[in-house]
Amino acid sequence: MIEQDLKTLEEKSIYIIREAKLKFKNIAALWSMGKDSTTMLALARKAFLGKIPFPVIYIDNSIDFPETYAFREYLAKKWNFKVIVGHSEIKPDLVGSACCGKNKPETLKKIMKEYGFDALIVSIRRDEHGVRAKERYMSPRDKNFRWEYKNQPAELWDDYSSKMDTSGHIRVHPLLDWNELDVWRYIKQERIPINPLYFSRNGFRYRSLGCTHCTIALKSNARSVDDIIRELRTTKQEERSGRSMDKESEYAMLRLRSLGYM
Amino acid sequence: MAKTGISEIADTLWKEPSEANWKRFAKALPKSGIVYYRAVYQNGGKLNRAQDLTKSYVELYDSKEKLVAKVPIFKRDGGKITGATYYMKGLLTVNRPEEWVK
Repeated sequence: MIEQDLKTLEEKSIYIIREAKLKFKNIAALWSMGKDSTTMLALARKAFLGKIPFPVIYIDNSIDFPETYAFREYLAKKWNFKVIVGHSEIKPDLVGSACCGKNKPETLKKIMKEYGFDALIVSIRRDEHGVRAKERYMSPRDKNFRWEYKNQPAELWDDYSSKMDTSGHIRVHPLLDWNELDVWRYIKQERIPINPLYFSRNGFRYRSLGCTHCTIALKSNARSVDDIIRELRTTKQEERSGRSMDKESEYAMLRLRSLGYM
Repeated sequence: MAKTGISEIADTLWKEPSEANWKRFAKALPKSGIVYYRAVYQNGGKLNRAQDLTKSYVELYDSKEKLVAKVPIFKRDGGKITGATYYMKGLLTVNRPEEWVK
């Protein structure tokens, strides 16, 4: 995994977050309590002098890890930001990606409509998945949350498009250029609090977090941030190999994202 | 399995996983000595339908990783089934063993 210059990555991400706050009237951020979205919140705090100036949305499907719920309350209090919790229900007869594809976007749609948000900051990275690599820094979605991945605005010379269909919204992706190792190096550098599930217990740890159902612990002895950084420098295992939805078919993620999944 | 206050609440939860009983469980948890949990799902962790939650459960362990009780993983409000892991807030996972990872 390539180790990029953290200062350059940080500057670009802060620039994108500030641009987004300036360009859109009503912006929010999605927070899954994973390492990426927590890093994004740390960047937002840095961009706005210690305060997160937008609400943070968390979609609770009611079967998340107990550690995740505890971390949510701990960090929201410590960093003093507003969390909007959306409750998604697990619906019968939906399997794996269908469950994520239906439940989370449906709940998000309701929140977006209720609060009238016109932009959402989402902490995806290009190196996570081939489909996420197709994303733009500012990516339009239509009123049904659909993503036209075959028809996206060009982003040349750091010129980002904030135009959208009036009924839709824009997804802002400030961490697109980062890789997993960069995120962990930044967590170490900035001492960002992190969900304890990432650290090894009984020889297993979670490398990518979802709900208790679809997230599987992977073999690892990394008990600290330093251990994780060391592990990532040599591992050949994919980051999302513990996420069941990614294993269904090559196109499962493409289908999910085109339908509005985060 | 040692019989403790939490075991009695666990029995009640299996009979009636209502919000009131889950709140009782959450209130009793900090003084119960339970530190770890393990979520055990049917079908190797794959969710086929919401009803599968009713067959799944959570094992609760003390600080020496000794099994204390098993509780359901869902809450039932009328006919509606939702997950209930929120009420186990504060517990730490005992990660799933290798045979469940496959």
